[in-house]
Parts: sequence; C-alpha cells; structure tokens
Amino acid sequence: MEDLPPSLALEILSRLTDSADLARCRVASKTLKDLSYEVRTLNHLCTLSQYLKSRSSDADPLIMPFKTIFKNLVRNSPRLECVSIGVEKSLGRRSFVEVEDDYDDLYLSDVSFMKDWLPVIGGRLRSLSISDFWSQSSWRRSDALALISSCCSSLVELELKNTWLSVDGLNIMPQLTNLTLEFVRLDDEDLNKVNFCFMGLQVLNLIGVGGLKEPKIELLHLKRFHWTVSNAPLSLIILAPNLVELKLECIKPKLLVLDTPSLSDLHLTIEEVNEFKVKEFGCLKCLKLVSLNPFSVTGMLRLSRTVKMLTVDIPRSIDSVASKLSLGTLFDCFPNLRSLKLGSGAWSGMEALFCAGGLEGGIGMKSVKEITTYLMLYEMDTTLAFLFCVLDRCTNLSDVSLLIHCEVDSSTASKFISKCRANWPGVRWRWGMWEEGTEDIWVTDAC
Amino acid sequence: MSYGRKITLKSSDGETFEVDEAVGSESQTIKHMIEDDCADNAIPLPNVTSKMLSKVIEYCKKHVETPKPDDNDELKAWDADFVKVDQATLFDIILAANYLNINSLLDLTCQTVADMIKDKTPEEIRKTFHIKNDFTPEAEEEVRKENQWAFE
Repeated sequence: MEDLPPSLALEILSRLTDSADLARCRVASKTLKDLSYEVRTLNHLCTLSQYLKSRSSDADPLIMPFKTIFKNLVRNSPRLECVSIGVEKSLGRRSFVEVEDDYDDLYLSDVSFMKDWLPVIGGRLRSLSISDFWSQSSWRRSDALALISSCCSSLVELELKNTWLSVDGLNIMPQLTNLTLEFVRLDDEDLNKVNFCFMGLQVLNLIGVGGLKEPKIELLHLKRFHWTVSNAPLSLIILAPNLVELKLECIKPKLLVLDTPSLSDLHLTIEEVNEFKVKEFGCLKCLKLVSLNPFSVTGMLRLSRTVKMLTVDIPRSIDSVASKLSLGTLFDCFPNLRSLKLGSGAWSGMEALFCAGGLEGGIGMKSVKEITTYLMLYEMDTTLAFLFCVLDRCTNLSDVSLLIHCEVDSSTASKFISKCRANWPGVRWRWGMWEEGTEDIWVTDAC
Repeated sequence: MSYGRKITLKSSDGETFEVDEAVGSESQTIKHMIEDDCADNAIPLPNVTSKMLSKVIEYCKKHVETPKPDDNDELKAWDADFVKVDQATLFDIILAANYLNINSLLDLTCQTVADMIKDKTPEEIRKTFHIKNDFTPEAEEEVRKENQWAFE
C-alpha cells in the first residue's frame, strides 16, 4: 500500500464508511494520518454501546464527548464535501416515554452545536445527513434548517432524521435536489415553505413526517417521491408534472389529488379514500397497489391502457371475499398487462370469488405473459382448480412463479408442484417460499 | 458476439491483445485514443504489464457482456470473485484501473481494500499492508491519545 501514489491511497481511505476506521488508520502511520485529513467524506456514528458506556456509573471521565470528537474531526478535514453524523438506528427511535433525557450530549440538531462546525465547511458541503437522538431532540424545536440554508450554498443532498424542525428563517436553496425527512415533526403544516424554498428538488422522501394538516407538494422538477403519512392530514395533494416514480403509503385520506401526468411507476398503499381526484396517467407502466379495497381504487384511477406490470395485494386482516376483487374484472381494467403479481390476500379473495361464481374472461388475459402469486394453500384442490382455469384463459402465458407459504408442509407443497408441472408442461415454472417480513426464497429457477 | 471493429492493445512487455472496440472503450483512456483516431495500429500501454492487461480485459469483457440492471446479483458475485487475488495483484489492478481510467473497476478494487481495513487495529493494518510505522514514539503516543475514542 505504501507503493501506491497518495491519490490512490486517498481513494481507498475515502471508502471507509466509519470515522472510527479512519481514526485507526491515522494511528498506523504518519503518511496515512496526513492523508486521512484529505478525505472528502466523514461518517460519524454513535453506537448503542458507546451510548450505554457514557451513561454507566463507572464511565471514564476522560472519554471525549461524541460532539467534541466530531468537531475536531471536521476542523481537521478542510476538504469535506459529504458529512453524516448520527446515532445508531437502535438508538434513534427510542420513545420519549421510555427514556427521559434532559442531557444534550447527543442532541445533534442543536443549532448552538451546529454553529461550531457547519459554517467552517458549509460552503463546500454537497451532502449532509443528521440522524438525531429522539429522546433528546423530540421535545426541543430546532432552527437547523435556517442555519443550513444560510451556510450551505452548494448543498445538493440533505437528510434529517428523528427531530423537530422549525421552518422559521429558512432561506431558499435552489440547488438542493435531494431531500429526506424521516421521523420528523415539521412545523410547516401545508408544506408551503418546503415547496417555496426547495423548488429544485428532484428526489423527495417524507417518511413519517408529522405536524401536517393539508399538505400539498407542488414541485416542478420532482422526479421521485416517497411519502409515508399517518391519518392525521385531512388531504394529500401532489402536483408534479415531471414526477416519474411515486411511492405513497397512507391510510384513509378524505381527499387525495394526484396531478402527475408523467408518472411511470406508482406504488400505492391505501386503505380507502373518500375523494380521489386524478388526472389521466398517459404513461403509467408499473402499478403496485396494496389496499383493503383495490377495486374501488382502480375504479377511481381510470388508468390502465398503458400499464404493463401490475402488483395487487389486500392486507390479510380483512375477510377476503368482501374485497370483491375478481381476476376477470382486473384483466378488464388492465387490457395490456404483460406481468401480474398477486399477494396472498388478493389471490385468496379471487379464489373465493371463483368458487362462488367461476371466472369471467377479461381482455388482458390474452396479453399477459407472466404471473407470480403468493399462496397459502389452505385448500389445495381449490387453488389448483382456480390456477388451471387461469392458465386455460391466459393463452399467452409463458412463465408462472408460485411462492408457497413456509408453514405449508412439504408433502402438500410437493404434491401441488407435481400436479402443476404434470398438467401444464408447456409453462416455465418457478417455485419459492415466502413468509411475512422476510425476503422470498426461490427454490428453483426456470426449468 | 462481436460489436463493431476490433482493436489491438499492447502491454508494456510487448504482448498484444485483440479485443472488441466496446470492451476497450470501458477504459476512458483507450476510448479517447480511439476517438482521436490513434487506434489504427496497436495502442501502446506502457504502464500495464501483460498479466494486468489480461485481468483488466477479463473484467471489461464481463461487464460489456452482462445486461446491466443495478441489482444484478450474478455480476456482483462475479466481481467479488474477481477481486479474490493476492494483495500485490490487487494493488496492481488498482494502478492499472487508474491509468486506464476504468471507474467501476477502480471503485470495486478500492472498496475491496477499504473492506480489508474495516475494524482492524492500527497494528493489524500495518501488518496486513506491510506499512512502516513512521511515527516517533512521542508522536505515536499523541496521535493515539487524540484518537482514543476509536479504540473503545
């Protein structure tokens, strides 16, 4: 490594994601020490064990506080462009009720702390991330946004987590393209300041942002938007003419407005909606819908002709027949489908309707080429009957992927698989296992 | 399958390698030479040995041939195998990737070395990479104290 030119040694040091690793390199040799201060990225994390040590009764009084270490690191690294400071995930969300913490040693959005280091590097900074310690930040309102907007004229990416933010004094940041607010209480109830000050945003993530009343997102350049919102806001409005990807997870908004004519990818998780105003989607290719009542949602969506990939699921908490989601009608709504994926709730609902009244045709059945479905296999014969009927109608189907719940015993699963293969040898079968909360396991690839 | 014309690359030790233009163009250095019309004869690469050039060509070929969604697990696994080489070779590949300006290969190899440093003590870092401790005892004591927090 000593034979590498300094620029390449620096490339290596720059890829160390943890400031502690960089610090240990510093002690290895003088050459590495000098190089280490040239890095452009700093990630400083407070781990759970460091936190517990600092709180233990025999804590070493000579241990440098987390914030002091960080300030020293920043002061010694004049080339920093990407900075991230935070507490480990397990510390980030501990509820205020559980842990009352009047200290501020880990209150990272504290403006008086930020004033000690941000102005020094702010002008060069391109990316900033602060993951605060909820027990210390949740009850203190921070003016961090105002400070960031006044110091960081080159900032392109900003991420703030686990804190309470005011928008007083926030200046415009036209160069900011990526913004993530996660588990944040934001005092901008309709998002007016966000729209006005961050007008250049291309990627926006609002995950668990509270304090909203009638939030409206109106951003001309927005391309990707991920919004996870509670049921507190009365309405949800998105006006984004260049939005290409939207992932929206909400519960039961009274009003949902989507004016996003360029949308190509929509992932919508919603229980129900009273009033749904949506302009026609001229280029929607991929739709993922998780809803208690997918049918009423698709009815309101009025999209369909362009959709090629569709995923539908119903949360298993409700009686599956009540969903009235019939496969035939789904294919009517989406006549140009190439690929369909059905969650276990959706499949069970359709299977129940099939038992009650058979399977009507749908236009899309002729175009679909691949189907993936998640099965519980409560009644194998019923599932087989439904599956074979589907295969019969979908004449262009070439690939079928079935994931069987891991609680199904293996002899049932094997019987099921052999019957499928025997009856439909012309189809490419793919098998796997699934379980809630874990990644799917594929058992065989196409045979 | 070949894409367009072939070009010839010549290593520092005189060996020549014929590759598709698309494969050679994974290297920005070679790509610029092709664009500047210097590729009619063999392109000389005086900073790259034949051993290194053949490794680099292997990497570029694989990356040109493989379809490119970002979450291509098979390609990631191939990359992980590609860097399972001795340290000297790894550093040689870094030098070659840098000279030939192949960003993805430079990224892969530098990240591999960074991953080797992760969680090691300074002594282990010195040992693994044969780094000389060039601190005076006093200076070492001081830098260790300054960075004591990283040893908790």
